[in-house]
Parts: sequence; C-alpha cells; structure tokens
Amino acid sequence: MIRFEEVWKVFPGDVQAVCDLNLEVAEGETLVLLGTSGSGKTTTMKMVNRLIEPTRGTITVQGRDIQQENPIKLRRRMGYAIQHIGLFPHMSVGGNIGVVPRLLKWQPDKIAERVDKLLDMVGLDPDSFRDRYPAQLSGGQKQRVGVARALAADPPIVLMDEPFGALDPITRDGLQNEFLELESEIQKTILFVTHDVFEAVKMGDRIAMLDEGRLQQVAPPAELVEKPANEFVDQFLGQQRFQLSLLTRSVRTILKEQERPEQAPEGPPPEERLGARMSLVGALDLFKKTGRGDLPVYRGKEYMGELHKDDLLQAVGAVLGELGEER
Amino acid sequence: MKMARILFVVVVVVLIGVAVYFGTRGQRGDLVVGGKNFTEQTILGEMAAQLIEDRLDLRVTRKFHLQTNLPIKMIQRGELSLYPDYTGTGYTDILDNTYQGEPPEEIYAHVKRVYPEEFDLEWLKPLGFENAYSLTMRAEQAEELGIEKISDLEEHTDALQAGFDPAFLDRQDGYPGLVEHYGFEFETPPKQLAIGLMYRACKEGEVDVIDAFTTDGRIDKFNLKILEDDKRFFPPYDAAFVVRQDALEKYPELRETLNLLAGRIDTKSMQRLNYAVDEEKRREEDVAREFLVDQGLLSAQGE
Amino acid sequence: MSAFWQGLKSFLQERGGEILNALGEHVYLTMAAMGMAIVLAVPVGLILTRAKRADKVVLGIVGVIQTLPSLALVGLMVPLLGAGPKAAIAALFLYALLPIVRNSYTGVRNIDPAITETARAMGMTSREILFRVELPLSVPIIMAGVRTSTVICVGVATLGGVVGAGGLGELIWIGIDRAEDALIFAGALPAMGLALLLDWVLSVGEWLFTPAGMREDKGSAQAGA
Repeated sequence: MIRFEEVWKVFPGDVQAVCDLNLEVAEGETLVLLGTSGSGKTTTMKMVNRLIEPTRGTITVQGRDIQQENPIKLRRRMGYAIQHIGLFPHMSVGGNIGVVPRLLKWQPDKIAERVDKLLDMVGLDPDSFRDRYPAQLSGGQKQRVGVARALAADPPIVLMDEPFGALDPITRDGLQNEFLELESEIQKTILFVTHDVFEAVKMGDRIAMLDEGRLQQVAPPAELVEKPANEFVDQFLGQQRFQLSLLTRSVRTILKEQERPEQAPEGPPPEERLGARMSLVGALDLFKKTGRGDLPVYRGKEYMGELHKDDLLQAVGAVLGELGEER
Repeated sequence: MKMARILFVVVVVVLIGVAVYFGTRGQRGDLVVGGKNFTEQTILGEMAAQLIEDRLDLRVTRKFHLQTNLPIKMIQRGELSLYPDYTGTGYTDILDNTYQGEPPEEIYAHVKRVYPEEFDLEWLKPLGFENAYSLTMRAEQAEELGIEKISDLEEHTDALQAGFDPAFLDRQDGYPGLVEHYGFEFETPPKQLAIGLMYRACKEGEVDVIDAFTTDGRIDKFNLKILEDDKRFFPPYDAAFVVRQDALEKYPELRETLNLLAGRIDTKSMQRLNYAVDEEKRREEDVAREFLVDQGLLSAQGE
Repeated sequence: MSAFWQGLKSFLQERGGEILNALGEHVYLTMAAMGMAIVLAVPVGLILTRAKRADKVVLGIVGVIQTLPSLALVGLMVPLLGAGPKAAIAALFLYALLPIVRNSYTGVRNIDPAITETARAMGMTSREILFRVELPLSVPIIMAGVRTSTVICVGVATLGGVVGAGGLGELIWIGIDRAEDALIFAGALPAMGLALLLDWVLSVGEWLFTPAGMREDKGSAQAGA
C-alpha cells in the first residue's frame, strides 16, 4: 500500500532527518512509527502526503509514485489527524467533519448523512454535537471530532501523529480502546506516529522503530519486545519489557486446547469474560477483580473455553523467565 | 442575524451613496466661483455667483475660503472658472514684477495684457475700489509715538510688536519686500496671525502693527490708523474678477453679466459690507444679495 | 440659559445647511479614502503573509508613513495633486493603510499553525485555505483595523479645510480665520460625532461578521486553541 524506497530527507543545514528508509506498509495494517523526538517519525509520515518532500528516494502509494501525482488530490485521499487537532474554530462540528467531502464536491445530503454516521462512530450524539462549535468541546470530544474528520471521506489511508497525545491518561486510554474497536469495523491502512511504547504496542499491527532517521527494527509488537534487533531498541524498551511482553501476548496464545462443550455455559455477564485477544495483563486484572479461579474465554460471541488462573500465572512466570534468560 | 447583516450592508451602501453624491457635486456645476480666505472675497464671489444664477440660469459651484495662493493655481487647472483678485497682487506676487510707483491704470493695463498670454485668463473691468495691504496701528498709539507714515516706524522698531498674516509674511509685495524697500525691520520678529484675527489683536494690544486690508470695516470701528505708504512700496490693488477665457467663450453673456458690477462698489460700500459680516455676524450670501437687489441687479425675489 | 438655546436654534437654522453640506463632504473624503485603502491594504496584508522577506520591509514602509505629521502629508499632496479633495483623499488613503495592512497580516499570521497545517494536509489549495480558513478567521482583526483607520480618516480629514478639500475642516478653519467660535464648534462637534458614529457602526459590523463559534472567545483561533 505504501512503500518507502531508499528515502532520505535532509533539511537545510545538513540536518539528516530521515536516512535511507526502506519500509513497506501493507494494506489494511496499522503500522506504528515509534521513536523519540527527532527520530524522523513525523517527517516520515508527512512525506506520505507530501507535506514534506523527500530529498531522495521514492515513495509509492497504492502502486503509484506520489511524485507523479497532484499533491492536492493525493491529500484528499488520506485522512490526517494530529496532536493539536487543528479544528476550524469558525465551523461547526458538522462543518469541520464535512470539509473534505465538500472539497470533493459530494452532494449535501450525502455529506450530512456521513457526518451523522461518523459522529455516531466516534461516540458523539449527532443531534447534540453536529451544530456545536469547537470552543464548546472538551479535549476528548475535540479529538473524537478530529478522528471523525480524518475519516470523513472514507480515505483508504489515514495518517495519525500522536492523535491522543494531548489528553489525560484515562481519556487517552478510553479513546485508544474505542479507536481499536472502530478499526476493526473499518478497513484502513493506518500510519500511526507515537513516542509512547505502550501506545505503540497497543495500537500497532507492526511497529517500525526509528532513531535519528534510521530504521532500527520493524516487527509485530510481540517480536519487537521479545527480540529487540539491537542495543538501541533494547534500551528503548528499558525496564518496561516485562510489562510490554505481557501486553503483547494474548489470552488466546496461552489457552490450552480444550474440548469445546457443545453449548456455552449459562451466559456469564460480559464483565466476567476474557476476550480472546485480551492481553495477559488484562487477564490478570480481571482475575483479580472477579476473584475467580476460572474465567470463560470468548472470541466475540464464540465461546472458546475456560482459562484457569494457575495456567495464567504459570505463563506469566514463563515470560519472566524467558526475558531473564536472554539478558 | 441575517437581517442584522443585511441591515449593516444597507447602512454601508447608504454611506457610499452619500459619499458619491457629495463627491461628484463639483462636477455638476456649470461654473465654479472661487474666493480666498477672507470675508470680502466670499462676498464678491457670492455676488458673482448670484448674478450668474439669476441672469444666466446656470448652476454655480462655490469654492470659498481657499488659502490665498491657491486660486491662481486652481483656476489655471480648470478647478475654478473665476475669482476676484487685485491688480497689485497680479502684478507683483503672481507675475513677479517689482512695483516702481506706476499709476494704477498702468498696473491694470499691464495685467490685462499679460494674463491672456500667460495664463489664458482675463481681467474684467475694475469693480470700483481698491483693497490694499497697509501697515496699520491703533490710532491712539500712533498719535502718542508721533507716527504718521511707514518711515516713522524706523525709530520705534525695538518697541513695537508686529502681527502679520502668513501670506503677507511670504509675498514679495508683503513684509520681505517692505523690509528691502524701506530699509528697516522689526527687532522682534512679527507674529503670525490669521487674517480674521489681526484686527482684534491689534485693538486689544496683543500686537501693535498689522497688515490690515484697507477695506476692512474694522479699521474704522476699532479706531485703527492706516499709515501712509510714503515710499510708495505697495502697488495699487484694484479689485476685479479674473476669469478663464474658455468660460468666457462658452458663455458669451458671462462677461457682460459680471461687468454689471463694474464701478458699482466703492471703498465705503465694501467696508460696510465687510463689517456687516465680520462684526455683525451676518451671512455673506445675504449681504451680497441685499447689495445686488439694492443696485437693481437682481429681481427682489431671486431667492 | 434660554438665550443660549435661542442662539443655538437660530445658528442652526442659518448654518444648518452649510453644516450638513460639510458633513456630507466629510463623509465623501473619508469613504473615498477608506474604500481605496481597503481594496489595496487587505490583499497586500494577505500577500505579505506569504512573502518571507518582503513582509518586514513593506510593513516598515507603511509604518513610516504613519509617523509623518498629518498636516505635512496633506500639504505635500498639494503640489502633486492640486488643492482640493484629491489631495486630502490621497493623504487619508496613505494614513489608512497601516492599520489595515498590519491587521490583515497579523490576523492571518496569528492563526494557530495546527489549523493551517491541517487545512493543507486535508488537500486544500492555497486559495482554498486563504478563503475558507484564513480570511474568515481574520475578519474580526481586519475589521478592527478598518475601524481604526476610519476614525483616523475622519480626524485627519479636518485638515482638508486647509487645502480647499471641503468637509467639516473647512468650517473649523473659517471659524479660526474669523475668530468665530461658533463655526469652530460647528465643524468640530459633527466631526467628533461622525467619528464616534462610524466607529460604532463598524463595531457592530465587526460583531456581525465574526464567524459564529468565535464570538465568545475571540482568542481561540489565535495560537493555542
């Protein structure tokens, strides 16, 4: 979907922001660009929609070299959401969301319909929020509108630069979860920039770690955390690696093969179910909260079996052990 | 909100309309009568304007209260059709000659000949009075110091404070020329005063010597004395209208109409008319109209 | 006291027409200058936001004009344009430039960069950004500049009386020439009134054309939403 071939970006004064980047983003995947400030992650993202032009190298999107395309048209095909959001204060929420559709000359009623649908998708009641103005929104609400706006024209690619960065941890967590939910409903290729390794691990299908403009490693979260490719990545993970590891492993991976009973047991309430994709940390949390020894595992509505607390603890211990060995 | 915005736009449009109306007024007159920035000019200008309106049935735009040196420039540019001026001013200030004592007829003849050649302008017949620059003092002070003529001032240049209007201080037929001609100047530099303020300032002792215009009614009423110009410095200043030749050609009866005033205004009359406006605070146009009606030049109901 | 009112009444009866005429001429001088100033200054201000080095220079030049004594500037116009309204309007025009140019410029400059970056990233062309985002957000500041300039114009226009431009200034000057206080007031008071009136009208306009959503909190578009 997006391919970087030997891409360089050098700013005046010989500042090498991006060096020899070779990277491919598959269709439908969420690729996280992870790194500290100055690592080149934002610059990389901005080269995709040509807000910044590469000094050298080629970037292709959907098979076409973006240099051959009109930048305006290119940008209208990509969603864009940034940390400071940049909502237009002189337009209503509905107006803001409808910007790109209007640029693309959609029919007004189609735009209105889409606006309502998006507000719904991001958890804002259309009737209450459609006509409000950005000045009247809370931080979290503004972010949601920002996301809705980025998705308005249903672009195949979405660029996000620390979109949840300006929020408090609780709101951020909630929004991240909602966004993951949203993601599963819509098929999009997402390039997500962050400096927060936890966010990266949570949001990404794969993580590309950058340092001083150079790609250090690109791998799925579990692999990155457990098999850091070099010293830098290792240090980046630092003390967090244990927790991260637990986060990257899901319940599904430790669920023992069991005979699935024909019928699911009497439907336990959702708060007492383990999701198949839930991380080990989440699982620990739930066991603690419910105080039970066994919890049912569901993938969506599908019952997959029971997980015993002991098995969980054993798995956790094993992770510790593995990490310890590698040191 | 929408209503309010529309209303606002309407207000702006109205303002623009007002602006345009007043902006194009100048163009809508057939003739433009000008006048310098003192009362007599406005009165004479009004007489001319009213005569034209009444007898020639043309629209007249008035541009009065112009700074002294502007009318000659404006008339050349076509911004004025006519204005009243004085032969001496034309001779020395505008044509840059030095007065050497020639009689008034000669000065008039000179400007009458030269103006058409130089400026495409014409002097009409003299109106019948002269309004000259003078040096004037309080009568009582003049008597006290034994001053009768301008030369007498030489002994008292240290004790007297002069007050002159800006044009007089600048013109060759004014203070600079006078100093050259008479060979003395005031020790304390003269104060600069607006024409209308001079007379009262002199009367009240704020200044001692002023360049009073000889037809100003206040000279008499304020008990001021005009000093004799013993060395014949000031040229004659016979009053007459200066008109653009193309205006005269375009409106053949214009010359005749304006010349109706020729010789009808003597010094005393002019002084009286000036006084009526300056001290009795009457309006120039009323005073002018009254005079014209009295002279039988206007139908009485020419309102 | 009633003698005063009597006197005032008869004065107004006599001079009323003259005063209204002068007022009308004053409006003409002001509007003519403001019209031209707005037409030139707003685009220039907007263009300057895109001109990296020229902006300081141009703003500097326009700023210097502002420091010229008004009487001098009006007077300087006479040799160039002749005595009369044109000279006054030219001088007013020059004076009206700075507030409008500067406000157009800063109005756009002070917009939160996140907003313009997002606008660009969404695929708006430079023109679309200007007309759909930057201008609407700058209207309040630009209008404020127009207000300032208008009030300046009404004030400086009184100097027009010196160069035969007409307007209320002429009444003031005649009053000075003839030591007739009543005339001075007849010119000065309406001039003040006109300035206040126009300022009020424009402030209403400013409010009316501030985009909704920015009324409460005028600072919200300006860096730091």
